[in-house]
Amino acid sequence: MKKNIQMPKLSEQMETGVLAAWNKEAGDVVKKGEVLFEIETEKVVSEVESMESGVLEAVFFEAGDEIKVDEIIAVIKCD
Amino acid sequence: MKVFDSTNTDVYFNLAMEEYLFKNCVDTEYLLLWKNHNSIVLGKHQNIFEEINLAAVAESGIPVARRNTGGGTVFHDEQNLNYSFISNSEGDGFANYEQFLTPVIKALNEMGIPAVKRRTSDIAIGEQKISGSAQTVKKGRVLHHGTLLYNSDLSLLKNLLKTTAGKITSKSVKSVRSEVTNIKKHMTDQSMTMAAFKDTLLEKLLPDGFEKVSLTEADIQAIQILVDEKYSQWEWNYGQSPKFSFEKDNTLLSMKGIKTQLDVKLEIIKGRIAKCEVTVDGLANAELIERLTGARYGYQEVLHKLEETRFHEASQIKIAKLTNCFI
Repeated sequence: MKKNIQMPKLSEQMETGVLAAWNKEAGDVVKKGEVLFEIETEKVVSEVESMESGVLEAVFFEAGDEIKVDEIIAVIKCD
Repeated sequence: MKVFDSTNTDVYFNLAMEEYLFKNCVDTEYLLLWKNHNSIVLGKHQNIFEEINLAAVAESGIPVARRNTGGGTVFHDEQNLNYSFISNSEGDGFANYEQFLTPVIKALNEMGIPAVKRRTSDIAIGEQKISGSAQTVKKGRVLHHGTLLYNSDLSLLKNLLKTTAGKITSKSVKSVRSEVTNIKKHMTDQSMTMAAFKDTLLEKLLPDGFEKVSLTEADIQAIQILVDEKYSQWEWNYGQSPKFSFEKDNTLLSMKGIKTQLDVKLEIIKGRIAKCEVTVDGLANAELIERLTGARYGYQEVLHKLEETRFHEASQIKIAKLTNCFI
């Protein structure tokens, strides 16, 4: 089964977030609870953890990209 | 509220302490107070090569450190008081600065300082900034960290910030330069020391009392490991910079008065020169390219690599001038 990972909405007023850094690369094995990437908005760094275990199959953005809330950032092929 | 008042002024130790307490002290709310000896502190996702003048910083001996929270580059000295709140994140827990800035501003106001909130995360007197803050959120806990310029010598910073004739392209987090002022200048009691300022602020911030706590030997050992393995390391402070490209076209004059055109294009990934194009009078120079590819980017590092090529001797160009073509 594949699951899309979207840009989370972290506050009421949030419309976009900057994907500040990837902690995983496409092809990496990911465990549930591991940090996938970090978002930085208004000088706040937020770690986004994986809700699934599996393999990070595809990533659609690179570090530094500003991404709209709910937009698909990556795909995980679940175990 | 438990309060740690750090007496250590080593920037790497204090940043490691902050991370260690953030990750390990999850029982209640904490307030950390700390000061660093002269140092430059970058935001977590900044490009160090874009923010600071590498040659001037190396010469000054001032340490550069990368912190765990977002935002831009700041200068610290022992007249700048840092405070960090560690607590559960409220509600959605994101970009909520009010919860932390409101009590700090109130405490400053009670001390007679006309401080007001400015933008999302700053505190100012009039139009001038006295405090900046940033946060990191992890597993329902938030670390809110702020500076308070009490009587800092800000002139030191001016020569250490980045200036280059080259073109840097990156998607890193940029610093926003602000006009700043020291709190002490606005105090009615001009004799108040930093120590007295800190104690008074603490009383006003936590009028219902607090529990003063200290690091245990085991804490200090664990923090020291974090300093040695992360905060003092090149891989964290430099290598963690987002990737970027650098371009600079240089016209050099040799000691004999001969003109040389040296054009440089670099791609820097994880602090190293991953791709390098150098042309000398329009022709690719394999020796320079080979020597620099894979090297750590930085003034001293590039200078040493260039020295190994002997290019500067053959072309009669001073090594410092040649190095500047790449920085």
